[in-house]
Amino acid sequence: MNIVISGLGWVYTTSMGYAGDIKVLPSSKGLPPIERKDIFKEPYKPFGRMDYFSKLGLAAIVFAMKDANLHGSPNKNTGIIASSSTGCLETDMKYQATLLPENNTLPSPALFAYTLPSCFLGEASIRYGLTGESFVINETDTTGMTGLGMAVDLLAVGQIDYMLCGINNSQIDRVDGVDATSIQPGAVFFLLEKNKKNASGSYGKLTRNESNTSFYYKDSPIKNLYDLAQKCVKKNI
Amino acid sequence: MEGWQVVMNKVYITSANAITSIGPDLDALYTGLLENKSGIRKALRFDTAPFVSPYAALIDTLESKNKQSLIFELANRLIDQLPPIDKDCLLITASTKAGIDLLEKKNLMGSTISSKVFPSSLPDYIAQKMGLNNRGFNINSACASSSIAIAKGASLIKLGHADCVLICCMDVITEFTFSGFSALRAMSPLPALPFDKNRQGLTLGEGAAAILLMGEKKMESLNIPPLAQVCSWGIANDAAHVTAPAKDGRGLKLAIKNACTQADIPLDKILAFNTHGTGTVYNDLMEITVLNSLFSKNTCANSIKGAIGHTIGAAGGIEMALCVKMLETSLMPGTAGLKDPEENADNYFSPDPQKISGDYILTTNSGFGGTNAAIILKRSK
Repeated sequence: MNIVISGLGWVYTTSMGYAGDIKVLPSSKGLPPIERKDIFKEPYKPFGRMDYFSKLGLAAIVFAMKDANLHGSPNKNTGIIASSSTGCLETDMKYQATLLPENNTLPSPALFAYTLPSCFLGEASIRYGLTGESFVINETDTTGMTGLGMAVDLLAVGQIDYMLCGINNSQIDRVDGVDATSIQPGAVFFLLEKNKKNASGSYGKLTRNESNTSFYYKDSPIKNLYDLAQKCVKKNI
Repeated sequence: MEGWQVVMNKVYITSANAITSIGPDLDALYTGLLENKSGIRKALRFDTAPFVSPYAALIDTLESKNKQSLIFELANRLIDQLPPIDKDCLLITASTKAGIDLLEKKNLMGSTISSKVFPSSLPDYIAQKMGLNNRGFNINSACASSSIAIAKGASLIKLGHADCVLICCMDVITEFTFSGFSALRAMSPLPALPFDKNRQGLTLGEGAAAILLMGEKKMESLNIPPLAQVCSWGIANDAAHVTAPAKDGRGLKLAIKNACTQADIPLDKILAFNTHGTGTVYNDLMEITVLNSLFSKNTCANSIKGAIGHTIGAAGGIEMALCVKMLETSLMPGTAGLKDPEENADNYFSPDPQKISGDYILTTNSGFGGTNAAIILKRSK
């Protein structure tokens, strides 16, 4: 049995997109604004109500789906596992600000809905009709490897046809006690599948050691999902 | 180096604890529910005047110390209840907003924020406090967080990646969360009445649960008896709406069917069902639809959220601990607050305790983002 990487999409501070359509971003500007037209050609009404964290994660998922040629014909038996250190802290702060008496505002129900970091997985599931499992893993060191292991397990036991697996982290400029360089802002998602009949167009196989402690891409150990993305695209993104 | 061999170990619960507004431990919760106790009161922790309801199910004595988040105080209490646990035991926590109350203590204009506000600070704290050899991780999937955390822990044991997993589930009620559910108009002005015709929404609650899972070999090597077997689980998304359930319950049905298929358990063997039962109009209608489409009238069902409130990310853990007691005693507590059951619900739900027959109990949770999780427990012989 093989686990194959069929798609890869990302939004970093330096670039966003997928191998077939990379948009290079101006340096030192932080994460880019994400417009609807960056990811969908057609109008998509729910996009406007989403918080930035949701747009960020959704964009990387959409790029991965486009890269795998599944954007127009998704398989509904697809699950999503996202890893995140920051969660939707920026949205939490914006919502919390609506509670401050001096701001003289009412708590926003629209904003509150997005103070759950898993809501963007719901948005992606709705957009593509995905009925597989979806959840966020919060780890201090977001390598994404715990989520990758779980995604591979689901594929290995045959519970699911495709897994989207990745990282989504917002910018953290105002948090004490965190080495800002240890958390890379941005999102990266992979589309994984089992036993791809036609391996052409894919990035190749993933393997892991028998103790399930290490993953390898083309016999090279993977440190984290950012590292895996670089290895797949073969250039700095 | 391929490493894709799939092993299938059995998974057991060897310890289950809970802290709720009804009492400091699982026995207090279970006996309290049988005695129709409720933990729902007018909340005094913050000013509720601007909100839809003054009611919440808070833990009376839970107070913040040294400007710490309440979540860490609750974690301390949960840790104190735990049996001796191997340092190699993997830790998974389940919480939706963990230490979000740390944001409330800051003036946001121009100041920085403690990194303890991150959800990952919860497993970090517990792992450090218990001296575990891993830092653990938190699972976040709205109100299904606990159920999914338990399912993932069970899966790691089943597939041979772990032999012992501790799942700590908790959420606390803060002005942040309370105001949000009020703004969404999901909150009942009076204490919640799950599955009642007169229900008007949910009542928020806080609490914690710890579920210790072990593989058969580990359990036998420690000579620990099982409390129940975690037979199977299913997780599915509605793919319908971010804050409302799919009216036809398609995601919940799929999760339940997947759980049954995984362990080859026919639906008619499920004779006890601990529902999510929040008390909101649409959630309860959706669950009634699922009940009527999948289960016969021989299946008894309940919701405990009319007594302990909706404990959000902790709900699935607390309910799982309670399911262990239900299997042990063959008695399901009644649905708190139920007076006039919703149409097509009266055959399943009762305000009084119901006798459980059969060997299995199903427990489910659903949440924002369209997430649904179902877990089937089997009686330990």
